[in-house]
Amino acid sequence: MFRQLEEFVYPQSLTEALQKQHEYGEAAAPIAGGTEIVPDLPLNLRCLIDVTRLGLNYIDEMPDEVRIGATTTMEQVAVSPAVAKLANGVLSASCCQGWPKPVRNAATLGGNLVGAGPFADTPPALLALDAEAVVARLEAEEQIPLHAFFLDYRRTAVGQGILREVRIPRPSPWARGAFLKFGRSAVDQALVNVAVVLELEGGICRRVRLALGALGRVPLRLPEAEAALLGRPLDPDAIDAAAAMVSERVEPTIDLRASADYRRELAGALTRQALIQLAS
Amino acid sequence: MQLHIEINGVSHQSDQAPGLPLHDLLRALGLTRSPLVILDGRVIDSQLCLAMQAQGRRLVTLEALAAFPADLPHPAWRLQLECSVDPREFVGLPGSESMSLEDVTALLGQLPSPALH
Repeated sequence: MFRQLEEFVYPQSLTEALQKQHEYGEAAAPIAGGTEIVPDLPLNLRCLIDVTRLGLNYIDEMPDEVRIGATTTMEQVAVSPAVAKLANGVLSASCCQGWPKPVRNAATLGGNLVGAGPFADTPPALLALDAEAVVARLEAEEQIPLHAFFLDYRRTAVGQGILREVRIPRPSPWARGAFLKFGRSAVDQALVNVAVVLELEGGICRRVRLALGALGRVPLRLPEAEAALLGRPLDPDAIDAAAAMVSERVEPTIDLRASADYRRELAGALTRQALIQLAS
Repeated sequence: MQLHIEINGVSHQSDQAPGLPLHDLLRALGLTRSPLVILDGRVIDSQLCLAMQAQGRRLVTLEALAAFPADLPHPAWRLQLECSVDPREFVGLPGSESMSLEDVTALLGQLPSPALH
């Protein structure tokens, strides 16, 4: 029983939800599936705002982007044909494939992002896809590129607002992507996860996005490692150079599950594996 | 707060605290031992959900599935067809008070053979 909760509200519109959030300030939070917030309900929380009845559960294919509503479940994203077409399914692969289905049925993409857990799997994939978050605020709607979304451990740029949708620009037909996660088991949190999206033109890497998670307080892109691949064929030399750059540049945190050295080594190895997968 | 849920086809209305986990409510009502329930057609873990999230929704427990009339398909088939879930996912979730495999087997054993349907 979470005795700190005083109110659970069911707003009829985003504006109503935002007004309630404004009324309580930081003592209010939106809730969708609950898998992120319920097991670890903050002690200062007094009001939960149910956002599952606001029509934010959708995957819309637009001519130049795919829009995913914040309360779309991980299961829906994982099996969506529209999402599977984006850089050969890099986001689908990151949708907690190892989790039990009952959890995937409840967990939402919005919750995974706003929860800002450092070990979450979708953030690196969305970073590699150059996604942006659309945040509803009382004053105006704001579009935040994902690289500016994660501010610190479990803190995002959403602040006093509600994540409405995620927009993913359609990658070029030549774009290919890979997502790899390493954990003790498929259901465990990642020790390191990596997502790569690149465009190969005549065998040459033209546009590269490489993002890693579970290494620090926020997921990150590594422009130095991306630069090591740009303009080069995706051959063993380029792959080795990029993997070495990853191991050199990351500054992993230490926790009970892995040392910094182990994570650094793993980050390079996973990057190499992802690039080999894309080269084959 | 007033809570209204349809549980196993029966309307349930009561006054509950906003922070009550769904699983605690169902256990208090003596309706299920499994943390996994079907909420609006999707299997979820009721330990990761508050009772208030189920407001106005339809909930079915595993025990009620087993009691479905014999002219309906076997629960194992229903789980797979309607909810796209492998019935084996009802057991053995880490950290949960899951039903044992024996419980599920016994429950399914009360029903006619799936081959008859």
